[in-house]
Amino acid sequence: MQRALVQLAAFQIQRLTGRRIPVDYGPVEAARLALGESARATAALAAPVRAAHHFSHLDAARSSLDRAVDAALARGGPDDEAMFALLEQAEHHLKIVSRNLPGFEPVDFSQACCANHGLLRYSGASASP
Amino acid sequence: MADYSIWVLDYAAVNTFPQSVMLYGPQYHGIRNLPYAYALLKGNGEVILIDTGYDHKEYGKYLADLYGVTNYHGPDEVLAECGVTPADVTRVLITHAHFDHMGGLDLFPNATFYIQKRELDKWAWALTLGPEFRFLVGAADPADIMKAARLAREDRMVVIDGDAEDILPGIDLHLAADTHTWGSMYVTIRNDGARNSQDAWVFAGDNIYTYDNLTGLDKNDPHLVPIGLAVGSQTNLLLCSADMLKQTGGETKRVIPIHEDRLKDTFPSRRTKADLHVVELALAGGETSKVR
Repeated sequence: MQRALVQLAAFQIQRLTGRRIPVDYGPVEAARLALGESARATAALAAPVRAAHHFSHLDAARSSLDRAVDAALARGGPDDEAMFALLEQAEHHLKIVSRNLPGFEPVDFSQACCANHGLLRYSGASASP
Repeated sequence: MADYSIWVLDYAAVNTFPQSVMLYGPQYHGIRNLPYAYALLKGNGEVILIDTGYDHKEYGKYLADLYGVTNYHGPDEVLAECGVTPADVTRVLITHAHFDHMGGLDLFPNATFYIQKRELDKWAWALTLGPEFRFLVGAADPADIMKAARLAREDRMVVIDGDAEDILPGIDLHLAADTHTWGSMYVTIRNDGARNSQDAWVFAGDNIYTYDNLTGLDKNDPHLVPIGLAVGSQTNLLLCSADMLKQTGGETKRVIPIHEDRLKDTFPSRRTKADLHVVELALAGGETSKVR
């Protein structure tokens, strides 16, 4: 999905900087192929309840990117406004996905016996057996 | 009298950078300090940066940690050493799309950015090749291309297709195709404004990492030595080095490798409280020294 996002952003830059007339749809095609791969991969996932939040953002990112491809291929020429808004949505969801590991909740180890052992070691106190 | 004041400003460093990456060939010659830096130019009513540095968060921070970057300081703090704020910057010339050169695209709210078309196109192409080719895109942050798209929407991204003379008065951009990166760009500042300048400076991007790329390690047998990290060819790197030297009339020290640790010893400089360096290459009329 990240690859697709980059392809579509590159396509936008080409369009907005006026360098490609006629439009080069190569990056859009590359994004479409990458999204096909990711669709197959995510369809094969059975997300457990604890991963549902993570998965929902993954799915939302893919949906935004799919619609961005549609906007790029719109009849009458690419819809730049719609496309950019969808790319921003996709980026937002992918950032959340990259921050949150599926199903893992942070655990505070600061009071654990091993953490105290570590504190002793790093404060210079002897931790030798 | 110089048209532009020119400083090189450190903003971070990799203290243990393998010499084998800086110079193709010497595989067992240890490590060097590799400053991360950008150049600041003031003159002709413009405040110009050559490269942006990176933003020490998200994937930029991940890459920095991966490469062992230390002592990062943001442009607020670094530019203040020369009495400039990020909002004062009017133009940014991007030498290539690696994170430490382009990762700060969103840190200069009033600037217009210049980059080579080939750099963006080939980068996007490389990302179609799949993860087995990740060497080709390893030092690039995919988020930067979305930042670039935002700038393009705001009409603040200028895409250059090849060489461009006088993009600003006395400043020329040169495409160095298939060298360190596919669309690397080096910048010539003709600081007397003359076409055949007697006061030219070249900012090499990463087409050289050190002056040793222009001289070799043996003083008695000077020759060009390519860097050890490129997606293009060694031949192209050597030809680019020869071209850059031609711009300065063969004067090696005026071809600036932004990662060269010895810049601070080659030109007037000072160490800041943050243990970074301000290196002063030129002063335009009316400008006061920032190193004395």
